[in-house]
Amino acid sequence: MRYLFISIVLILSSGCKLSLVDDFTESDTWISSIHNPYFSNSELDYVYKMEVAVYGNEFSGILIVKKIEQDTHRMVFTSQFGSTFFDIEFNAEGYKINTIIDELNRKIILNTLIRDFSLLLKENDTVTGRYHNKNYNVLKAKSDKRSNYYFYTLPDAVLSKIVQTTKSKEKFEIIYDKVSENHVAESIKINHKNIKLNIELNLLKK
Amino acid sequence: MRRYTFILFLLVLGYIQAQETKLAPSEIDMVKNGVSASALNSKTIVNTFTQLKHIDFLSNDIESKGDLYFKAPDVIKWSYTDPYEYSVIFKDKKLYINDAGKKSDVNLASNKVFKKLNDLIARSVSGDMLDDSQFTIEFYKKDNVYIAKLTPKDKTLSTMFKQIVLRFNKNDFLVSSVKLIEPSDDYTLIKFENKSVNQPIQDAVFIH
Repeated sequence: MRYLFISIVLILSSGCKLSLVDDFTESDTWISSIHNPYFSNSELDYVYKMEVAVYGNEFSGILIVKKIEQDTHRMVFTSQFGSTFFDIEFNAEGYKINTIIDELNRKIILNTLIRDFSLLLKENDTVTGRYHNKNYNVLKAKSDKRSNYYFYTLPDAVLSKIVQTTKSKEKFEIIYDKVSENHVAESIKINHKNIKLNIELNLLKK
Repeated sequence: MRRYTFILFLLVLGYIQAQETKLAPSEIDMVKNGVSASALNSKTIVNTFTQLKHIDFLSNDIESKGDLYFKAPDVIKWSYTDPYEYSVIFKDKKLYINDAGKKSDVNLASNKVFKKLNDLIARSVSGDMLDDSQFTIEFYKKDNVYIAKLTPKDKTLSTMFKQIVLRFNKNDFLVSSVKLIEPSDDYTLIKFENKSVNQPIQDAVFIH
């Protein structure tokens, strides 16, 4: 009986262990900082069609991102008609809400969106670990109680994915696709692992 | 030198006056009646439109284009073709959305907002919104248009827009543009072109 208990605990605890980079080789960290280039050009207006699927409901609109100062981004989400769903400023200290409609101004939704977009817009992170396999070079960064894993495809070293985790669980991932030469990702997906929330961004042509 | 400055001052003043002139009470009645008659007479309207979203911090306005179909009293379809295909049909007090082939009936984030907005735009397309009980309205004229500046009294609407500016062609009293100004002074400007009034619209247009 005791052995059964111990084995259950073992199975459970091993089941809870983060397996994200299990089959990767840990290696020395030879660089100290991570630079995410995708929203870093202050001369560009980043305009995407955004589709959000949350627990069976879907809605879409236009997401506009602009780097307005060093470490500060402004993000506006509007309906196709142009009415504003939210207008939020993200900076190094946190965020400031300029406007938000009541339907989105609910603690759980808002906190999740803020966390997602904070990572999406986070330009610099500090490396605390490095892993690799034949397809990816992975840089790990710690932020509060969570960790961010930056996946760079090899051999071209393009940032293709970021996964945010707790100690034991993957929380969500950001996947970048169709990256152009000026570091604009035409397709970005944010997928949550524990809640039914997916966000899809597709660059709108100029 | 002083004389030139004075002439320049007069020129500038003249220019400002040529911009927008406030209407006299008699003119206001004439415009209201004209718009109301034109709205009543417009059983169907088909327009192309260009929409500009102006946000202060952006380098360029965001431009969208499409076609608009209106059938009295309140069936309306916004069919965006650019930058992507997206249409909204407002009929039977419901919203039917076709988002690049993905169809839905309701819109989570915007149910109340969308309804207010769509109602507002449906009525402004036909001009049927010069209603003193809902808006404080000021009238102006400029070149070949009349301008109505509406300040919403409704709370939901006023949190979205501090002012709505409608422009009417002087010759036919049809709406030529709608400008929705948000409390932050950012705005959406919708300009209508190629108006066709009272031409039959096939039922298929309004099928979801």
